[in-house]
Amino acid sequence: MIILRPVRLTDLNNIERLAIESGPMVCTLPAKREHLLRKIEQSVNSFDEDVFSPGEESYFFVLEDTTSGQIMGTGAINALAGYREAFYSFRNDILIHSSRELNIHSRIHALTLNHDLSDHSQLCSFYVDPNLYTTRFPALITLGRLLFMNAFANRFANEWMAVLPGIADANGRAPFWEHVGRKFFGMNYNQVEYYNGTRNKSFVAELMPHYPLYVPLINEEAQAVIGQVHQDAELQYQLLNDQGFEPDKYVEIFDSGPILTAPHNALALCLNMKTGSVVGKTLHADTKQYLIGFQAAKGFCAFIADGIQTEDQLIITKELMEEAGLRQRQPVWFLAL
Amino acid sequence: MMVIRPVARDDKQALLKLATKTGVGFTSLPNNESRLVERIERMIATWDGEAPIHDQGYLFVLEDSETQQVVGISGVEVAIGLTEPWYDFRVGTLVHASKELDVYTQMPTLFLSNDHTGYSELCTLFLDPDFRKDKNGHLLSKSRMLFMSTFEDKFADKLIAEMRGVSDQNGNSPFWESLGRHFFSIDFSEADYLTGIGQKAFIAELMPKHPMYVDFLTDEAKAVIAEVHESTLPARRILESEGMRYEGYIDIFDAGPTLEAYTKDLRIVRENELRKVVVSNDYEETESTLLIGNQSYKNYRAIIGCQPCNETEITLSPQQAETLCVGEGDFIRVAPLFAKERREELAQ
Repeated sequence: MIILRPVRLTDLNNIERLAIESGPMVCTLPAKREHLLRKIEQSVNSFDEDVFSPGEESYFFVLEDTTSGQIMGTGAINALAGYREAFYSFRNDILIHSSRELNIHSRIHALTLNHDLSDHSQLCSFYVDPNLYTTRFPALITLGRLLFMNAFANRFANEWMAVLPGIADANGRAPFWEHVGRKFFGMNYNQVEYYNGTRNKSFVAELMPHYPLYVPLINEEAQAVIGQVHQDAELQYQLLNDQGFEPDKYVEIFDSGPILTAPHNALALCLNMKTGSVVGKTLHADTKQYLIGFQAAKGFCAFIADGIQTEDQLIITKELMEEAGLRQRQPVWFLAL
Repeated sequence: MMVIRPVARDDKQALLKLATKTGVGFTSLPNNESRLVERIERMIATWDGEAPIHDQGYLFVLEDSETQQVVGISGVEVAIGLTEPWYDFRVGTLVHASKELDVYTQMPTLFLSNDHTGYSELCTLFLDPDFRKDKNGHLLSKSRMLFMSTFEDKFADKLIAEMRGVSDQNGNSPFWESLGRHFFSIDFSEADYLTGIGQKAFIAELMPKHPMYVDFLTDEAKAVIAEVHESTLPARRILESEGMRYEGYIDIFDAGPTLEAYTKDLRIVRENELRKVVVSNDYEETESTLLIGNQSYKNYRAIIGCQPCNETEITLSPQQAETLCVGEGDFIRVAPLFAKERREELAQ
């Protein structure tokens, strides 16, 4: 079976392979071994710690095929997007230019550099084996993390967000970068994404424009991609959007990809999540798909299974229950999909 | 003989006729009768001592003393921006640098400013194309400075002149198309007209308040920043030869340069001297052209002439004396019409 579980130090080689496959688009998963090792260590420590309010913790999950031991995908959460250093984004502002005398009232779209999102919890480092795109497992990575966040809400902020990759072609040319960032940085998009994943963020404050950028003045090719998601991330976008994440307010500073934000308590998952106990027995017809999360010896795990819900019990097949490492009547968090 | 004198009410028709020849981009002499009448009245009130400081301005006409035809106009506003904001873009620089990434970029940036508030302004210079000869343009432009020098305490310490920027025959300004156009949907010629009839502040309310990186403008727009319309080149040269300089300010609509100087640093102001008038027909013209102005505030007159002039006296013909409204023994102000380099150039 395929299960979402916390990363372990022994996953390093596997993750390094995934990071190379994912390319520069997932800047929060840079293919740099030392950096990945630090990320894994930080995650292990974060899961171990007793946390009463969000801080520097980062939780890193992997998607594992338990039969082969293969790692098929990754997904992480930063408890705070900007704990040690500010998290920068462009905010979509509407500036009103109005003159009663001339009977003109224009609304000018502007992008303003800000670090409003620093105190949001951030979903990041999402990557899934391309062979799994059409399966339910990308949903497992994303919704599984949200289930964890909801079950341990005191570890996270009240506002959550996710940065999705914007438009770039196969050669790593991002139109928004070409017409905006390049003017300030004088380097290629891939390179800046690499710096962004590996360096101290103070370079953003040093190099990015501090005044609002008037969107009508930006080259039209770049204007056209503001807030547009890369096609590889459309699925992820859809999953988050369905849960109630909204893309309207912020975009990423380098490729202007959408940043989805949501207040925690407005998410569908938070409204519909149930707590109860699991029961394993033989199942007949009328099953539904459920996302199930539980506390295992190795930490919070999640998987998707067919089941039947009765009051505060979730019934799944005994085989699956045992394969997941669950005991009869063990407490679980679950959500009908 | 060509003579400079204060504008009068009777000049209205002649000025309306001149205005039809100016074309787009010349904002301060709009082809609008009521605006013009208002302007003339404001000037007369200034000379009569009845205008408050923010309304004060002087307008001179260039007249052919034989035919009494008015062929040119030039003005000075005493203190700009005191009733409504006076806007410019300052072309500044923002440096973006990161030691860690080894990146250093200089970004020219436009900052909306009111920095010239309270300055005096040279404005409204226009000479009938048929009369663009015989140093008329120099007389028209520089006599204002001689007037300012003669009545120094009526003006601000600093002086600007806005130069008409680049636009094509159809009145399209590349700078406007790249910038102003986005903020409201009117043509440059309309914005220009509204500016001329005193609506500039309204328009400016619609302009971007935040600094703007020049790099985001089109190449065509970048190319015309601080450049003047070709028909304004002679005017720019005249002002520059008198010590006015582009100091990094441009017009918010067409990006024409604003030239500036301390009034006391203007060459005409530094070089003019008092001479006692000798009236005579018995003299030979010299090689150097002089700008000559009387000292009468209300009956101000200025002419040019190649008059003999020593340390104390200047010889004028009876016609010149009459035109200047002076007589034997009166004192007048005299300055070389051209800067030294230009005089040397002309002598060769």
